[in-house]
Amino acid sequence: MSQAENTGKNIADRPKVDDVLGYTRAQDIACESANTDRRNLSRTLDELGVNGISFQGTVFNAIGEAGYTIDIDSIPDSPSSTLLSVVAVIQNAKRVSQNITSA
Amino acid sequence: MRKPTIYVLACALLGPLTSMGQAPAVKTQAAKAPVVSAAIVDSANPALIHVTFDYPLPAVKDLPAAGLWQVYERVQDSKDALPRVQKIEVEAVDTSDFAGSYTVALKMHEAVSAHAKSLEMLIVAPTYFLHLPAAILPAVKGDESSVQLVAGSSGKSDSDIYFNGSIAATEGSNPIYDVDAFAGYMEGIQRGTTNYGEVGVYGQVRTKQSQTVNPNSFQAYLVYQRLLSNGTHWHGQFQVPYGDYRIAGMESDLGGKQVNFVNSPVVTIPIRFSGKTLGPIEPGFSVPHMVLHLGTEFVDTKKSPLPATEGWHTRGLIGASFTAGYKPQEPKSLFQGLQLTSSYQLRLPSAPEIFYDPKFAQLNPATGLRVTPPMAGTEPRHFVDTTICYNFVKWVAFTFENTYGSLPPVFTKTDATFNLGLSFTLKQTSYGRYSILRP
Repeated sequence: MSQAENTGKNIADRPKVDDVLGYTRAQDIACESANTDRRNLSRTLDELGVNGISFQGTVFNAIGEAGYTIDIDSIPDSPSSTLLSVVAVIQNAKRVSQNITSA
Repeated sequence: MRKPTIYVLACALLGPLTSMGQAPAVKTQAAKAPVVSAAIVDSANPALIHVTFDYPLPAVKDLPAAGLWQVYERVQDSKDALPRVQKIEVEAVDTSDFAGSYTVALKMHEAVSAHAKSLEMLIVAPTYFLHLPAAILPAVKGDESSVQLVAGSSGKSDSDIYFNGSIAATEGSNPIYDVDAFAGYMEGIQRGTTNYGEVGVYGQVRTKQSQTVNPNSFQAYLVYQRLLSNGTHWHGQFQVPYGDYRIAGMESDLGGKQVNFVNSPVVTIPIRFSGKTLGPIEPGFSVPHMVLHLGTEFVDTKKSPLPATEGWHTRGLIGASFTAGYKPQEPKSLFQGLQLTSSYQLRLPSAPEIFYDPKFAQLNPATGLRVTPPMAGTEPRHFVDTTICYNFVKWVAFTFENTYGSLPPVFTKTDATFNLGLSFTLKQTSYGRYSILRP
């Protein structure tokens, strides 16, 4: 199987752009919810002085405002969680309409 | 449904020391292997891999060019198929956002496979060779193989299950034992995009003054927790506050001589000592922060050594906790971190409530032991707990603890004590219940 064939199949298997939140919007939401700029993506919530419970809820609300949804418990909110770990999870948030359709 | 992801860890990093969020000058390092925090494959465009660098930051001119990156994916097309490793070429490295986020975007010649199980990345430069942390792949529907059941924890405020046993030295008396332990679990209630809060259970054991291990404060609660607004922004130094409602709880001493039913709403207000959007901070230190707790405890004393104190009364509850610490970015031998946690609780009972004052202890001629008689009063009940935790390895720590006062249901007037001990914690992948339920 050639790489080109793989690529074609893989792209078809992937969620289409905008079906998921994606890295860029996830990054903006995580940073805004921590009230920090994007140069602190590697920092933990503890280092940023951010309360995880409030942060988790704020991220969930912001994802909802953007038209996406995610399991709130999956959003990292431990003091040792980095913003990057949050971005890595929430970039998979699914578009609301897609969720409703699949449900 | 949340997996009860439990983390094993011994004491740990409660929090941070301060750098007040002042933006330091960007320190860069030339021509040495850079530090990479994470590489994340973009879920919306799997042909993009975002690589974020950390301190010491490389200069833009020193960022590895496209030809220096080696990216390999391990693909398994189906459960039965043998995995295969294949290389993906990096077409270009977009450094345009490096100054804004310390991140570069690798534009791949083709998308990372949806069947990729892992993605390994290397930088092979003329003066160094760097193996990057495993890249984080987008979630694949139905594939939960990457869900961790056990992961690392970071201390008391970061714990859901915690145990701390220690020996206390007090002036003029024999050493006494001290047990501080709690366990909690919370589960979100969600329907689509609407979050209805979280429910959970919590238990806590605390003893301070016994010459034998005799937990004098046992508490168990059913808890409901919810953010008090649907906001997405901070208000100056304040994060969105949240409420904890202890729907039904029991407070008891170990012998069950004093048993209280408790119903308690508490509002928690997180505060960071910097209201502006935070500029870059270096690892290890952190912006000082605290939480304020304001609430009421409706108490029904079911059983008491002083029957006159039985029945309903109310306690006003005010509390605050502060956390600070330092954790070296590069853990050193015998120094993994130093943390300070301080918490204060003040309870103001509306009706006489039981307490013990060792000053009034009387000798029991039958046993030869001094016994402190129960007394009743409405005096304010203070509890101060300051802990310094020194991690000499990641999962074991010495704790030095100073406490004053005591917790319900049996308030004991004790002088300040100083403890030395070891800590051990377990946690769920979430913010520790300590931070929710113990001001």
